[in-house]
Amino acid sequence: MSKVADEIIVKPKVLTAEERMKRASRGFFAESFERFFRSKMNVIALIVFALITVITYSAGWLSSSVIKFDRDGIDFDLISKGLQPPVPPGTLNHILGTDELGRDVLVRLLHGGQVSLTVGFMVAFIAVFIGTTLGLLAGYFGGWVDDLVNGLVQTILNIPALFLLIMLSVYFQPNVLSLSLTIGLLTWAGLTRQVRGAVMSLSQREYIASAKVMGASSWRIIFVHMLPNVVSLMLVVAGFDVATAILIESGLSFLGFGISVPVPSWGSMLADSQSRFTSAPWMVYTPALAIFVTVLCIFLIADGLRDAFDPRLKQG
Amino acid sequence: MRRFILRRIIQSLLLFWFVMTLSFILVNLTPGGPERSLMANPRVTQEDLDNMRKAFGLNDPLYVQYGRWLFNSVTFNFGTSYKHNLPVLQVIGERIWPTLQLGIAAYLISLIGIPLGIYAARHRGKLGDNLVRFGTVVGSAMPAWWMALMLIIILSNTIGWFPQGQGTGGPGPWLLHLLIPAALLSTSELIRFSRFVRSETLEVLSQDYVRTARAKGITPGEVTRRHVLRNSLIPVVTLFGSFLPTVLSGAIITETIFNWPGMGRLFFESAYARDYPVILTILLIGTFFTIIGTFVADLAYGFVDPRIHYR
Repeated sequence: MSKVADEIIVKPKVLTAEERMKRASRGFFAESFERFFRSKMNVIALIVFALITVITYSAGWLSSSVIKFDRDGIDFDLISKGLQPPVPPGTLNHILGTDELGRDVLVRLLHGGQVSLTVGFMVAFIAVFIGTTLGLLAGYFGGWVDDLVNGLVQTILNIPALFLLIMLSVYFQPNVLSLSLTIGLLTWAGLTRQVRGAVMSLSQREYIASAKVMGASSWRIIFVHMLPNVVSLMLVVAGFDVATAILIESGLSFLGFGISVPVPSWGSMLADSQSRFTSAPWMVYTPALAIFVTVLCIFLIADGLRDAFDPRLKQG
Repeated sequence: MRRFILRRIIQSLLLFWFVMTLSFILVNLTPGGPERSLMANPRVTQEDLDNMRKAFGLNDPLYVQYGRWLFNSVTFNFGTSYKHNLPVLQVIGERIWPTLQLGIAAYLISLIGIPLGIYAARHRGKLGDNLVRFGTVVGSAMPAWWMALMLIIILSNTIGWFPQGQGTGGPGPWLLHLLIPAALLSTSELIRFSRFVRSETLEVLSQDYVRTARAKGITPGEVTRRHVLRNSLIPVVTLFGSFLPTVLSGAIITETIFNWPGMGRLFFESAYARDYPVILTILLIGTFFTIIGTFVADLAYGFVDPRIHYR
């Protein structure tokens, strides 16, 4: 009898007052980031991505003082030694070989990464900035502001984006800035919808009402009381935007509408090497691997952030 | 309900007009006229160009051109292609059916994402779930066009054949030529479907009514079928609206790679040739179907979910 009773009794986990205070003292962000870093996968992805970013952004220094080849410099030593570019990895100090013009693949890969990542970061910044601002305004003020923003969102969502990008790229020679700007201007609409929804539900909260009663201005309420609540959303969407932008840029390069030569990007390197799958595979697989690893890391980070910030998954 | 539909129709029409006007302005304000692509040809003289501009009414002020274009479009007269010198509708008409085939096939294939997502959610944290999640992340981390090229290389190196254009001679070759481009076109949507359905199903699984159903002693399969699926699949209809623009955009690349004689490739060629009437008409068709898709998705949402009220 007593044995059964022992098994049935479930001890509820009672927190001491001290433990409870410790719990309460930590904020939402600290807790979320702690949850993010608890997953090994997230940490690895973050470290790899940080490394890639640092290395590609020091491309100028690396190529001038470590690898000693120029981004667009043709290695005439190859021709004087009777070698026909593209040469495979390991030939005459070319760690990853050269392309068909005799340019060092590694150096171009580093510079290309800088271009691809810059496009990604700029697109994410533009899209998140516009998306958040319009979402906050529409959600908070409602009325005609909301109608106007909604109209803009619907317009963007109903334009076939790649068609527009192609049209613009045909008529304007795209560079890093203009390409980022056009992609960014076409990708903010989804975030605006989400921010708007979040702000509208926040407006019903009591703490917003009490802030109003205490005489806080609209701007103060928006920036101090509402913005922190959508930061997690912004971070996650920014991550996905960086990855998407890198992929879109590669698609445009494939169609011949990417950033103009001779500036390399991972996308254009991949696109330029498409006929060399068998004759010079190092030209194909290095940019492919670079895109794959980078985009994979960004997706993992963004996914991890979303899980970490989602309060519904706290127990999981 | 009727008021909602009426309001949405008016909104959609306004939106349609706005997007089209925007496209018209964008196309026509770009530096260099449509004759830019002709000037590369040394046999074309200035006189020819002047005649052409006159014939196509390009010397009129922009607002006159705009008014004429708007009026003609409303009456389904989309003008003459600069490049092919044929009515635009005829040029596009030949290309629209292949793209439709590709789109419908891609759509059917991407529906596989729904059972995948449900399976992953029901086995959360287990091998199957991890495989699906891994597959979707890996699949979306590579440009789709590059995967298509890889596939072509693999196919041509192993069996010495890969699909080029449309298959002719019987339904067998036709299906074979259709299947591979359609599968590649569908990857991004398939991945989106499976991720979306997975998270929706997970959310429904944590609802009180699912726990109640289980507590009542209903078998797990029955709970899934009657209580989980019905609710988790509701938001899927919203995905139908955004499916069209994604497929249309993807079609440009897929059709170029597989030499598919569709609208996407036509747009690509026309953009190079600055064939404004064709560009504008393809944009018009694309926008039209996108808006219709969103509209139908919104309506369907209300039909499948009785909790939604139209205002």
